[in-house]
Amino acid sequence: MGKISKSTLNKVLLRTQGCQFAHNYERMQSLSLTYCFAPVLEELYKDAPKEERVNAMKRHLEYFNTHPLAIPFILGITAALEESTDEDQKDTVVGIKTSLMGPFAGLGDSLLNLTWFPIAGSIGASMCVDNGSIVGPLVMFLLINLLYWPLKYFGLHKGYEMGMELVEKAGVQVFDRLGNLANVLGVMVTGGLVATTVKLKLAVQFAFGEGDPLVLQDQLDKVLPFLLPVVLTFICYRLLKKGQGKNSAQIIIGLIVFSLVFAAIGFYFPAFKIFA
Amino acid sequence: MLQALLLAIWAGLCTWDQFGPHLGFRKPLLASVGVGIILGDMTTAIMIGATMELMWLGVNNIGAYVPPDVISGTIVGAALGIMGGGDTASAIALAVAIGIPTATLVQQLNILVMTTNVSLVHGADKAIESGKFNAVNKFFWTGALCFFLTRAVPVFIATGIGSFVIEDIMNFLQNQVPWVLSGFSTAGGMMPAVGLAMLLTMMMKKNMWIFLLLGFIMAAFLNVPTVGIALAACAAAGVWDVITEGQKNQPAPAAAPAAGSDDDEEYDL
Repeated sequence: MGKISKSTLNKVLLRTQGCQFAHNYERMQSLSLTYCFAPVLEELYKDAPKEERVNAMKRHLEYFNTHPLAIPFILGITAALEESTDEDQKDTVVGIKTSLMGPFAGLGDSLLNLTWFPIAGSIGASMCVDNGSIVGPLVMFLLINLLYWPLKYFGLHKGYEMGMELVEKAGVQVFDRLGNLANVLGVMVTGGLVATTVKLKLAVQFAFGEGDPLVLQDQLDKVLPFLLPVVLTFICYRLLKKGQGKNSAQIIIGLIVFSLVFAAIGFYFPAFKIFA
Repeated sequence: MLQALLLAIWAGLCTWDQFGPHLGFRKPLLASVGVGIILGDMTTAIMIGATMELMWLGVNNIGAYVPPDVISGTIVGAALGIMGGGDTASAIALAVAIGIPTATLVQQLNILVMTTNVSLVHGADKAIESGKFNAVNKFFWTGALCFFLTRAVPVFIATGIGSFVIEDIMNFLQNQVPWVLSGFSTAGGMMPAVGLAMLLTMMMKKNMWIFLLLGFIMAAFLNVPTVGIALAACAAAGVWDVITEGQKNQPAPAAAPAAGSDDDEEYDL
């Protein structure tokens, strides 16, 4: 243990900042990962014959895809494994590396992409959407990076120091549990965002003789505040479920056409202005 | 032209963020800051960025799915929205009107490059086979350059050409057909529903409606800000974990202590 120097690992950390630059449909992150991991292989295979070095590079060029934030950690573990295995055990290195990518991809997507980014974005945006204050982007930047940099740095170094021990100690079920926790967090925040970010209001008014006209939106608000955003989100949800998420572009275009049609009607026939 | 070039470079850099360090500049709110600096109108840029951030909140790379490209959508939309010279509300509406189709077009370019990049990995195969290890770097950076260009080139073309005509377009829209801008304004307000619905399709599992409802009640009736809801959600997640773990441990009480001590791992969410 400890053959690989800290500076080599930091070089890997620097290189993982480009961990998807050569992304492609055939082997996804593999080429980028080979580039990221090359400093470790160079150090370990400094004096090895060419054939072994070729094999070492080749086995890391195989298919790989996970969440970008998990890459430093997985590479840390891989470095520890590369160092502690003999040349004829290298299948296990690749095997373990590949077995880690699935769980981490799921965890990263649900914890970070589906939960942390939307939270950071909505907090930041809500602070500046009305006044253009620089505080909004700043808060968003800090929320993201104060979490991400420790994950990357300690992921790589701890991953190397502890190797598989860390994963084995925690056990695979931890992934499920963390995933469930992220799920609760994400769903609850999303519930709040439906009320605060989706904007749709009726402009319909009924005038009965004299006195104040009956404003339909006020009546709706008495029934349930944000009724229209809830209905709209629910419709989108049903449509996306039906199209298995592949029809989002059509839904967006549909909403634009819908809005334009009603805007035109409202403009040319003010009596029929439906949406504010 | 210089501005178009700078915007193109900024778009390329934000793209690298998306495929690399994930500092957050791949998101509309942070991408718009660069537009504000380049065009010298930070306030409008940030307001447009925040609108688009909320609009595209649920647009996210999940697994191998390539979403609409919010980077070029934001940069082109915000730049032309500002260049249009209208009031803030029209600038935002124009930005949305331009941003959505741009994002969809560039999404296709991204898919194209993801496909052509396959040749890089084959090139790397051969290079390694013959022992030219440093060639890997060359293939890696070629991929990086391709992704840089997928956003930089469309942004350059759109803002370069757009800067000449956008004021006329804005005048036309404002004076002749004002309903187009108001229509896009309405559409922009409705857009978050798609993103949030998208998030929900991936997160709604058994019993999750409880928390969806809780979050909605806190925002709609109690006016709790998002930070507050997020904190309450952390607590709810903790309670949920205790309940589900409790249920799991019940049938086998003998095994519980061992599993229980392992489960005391802390969760820093």
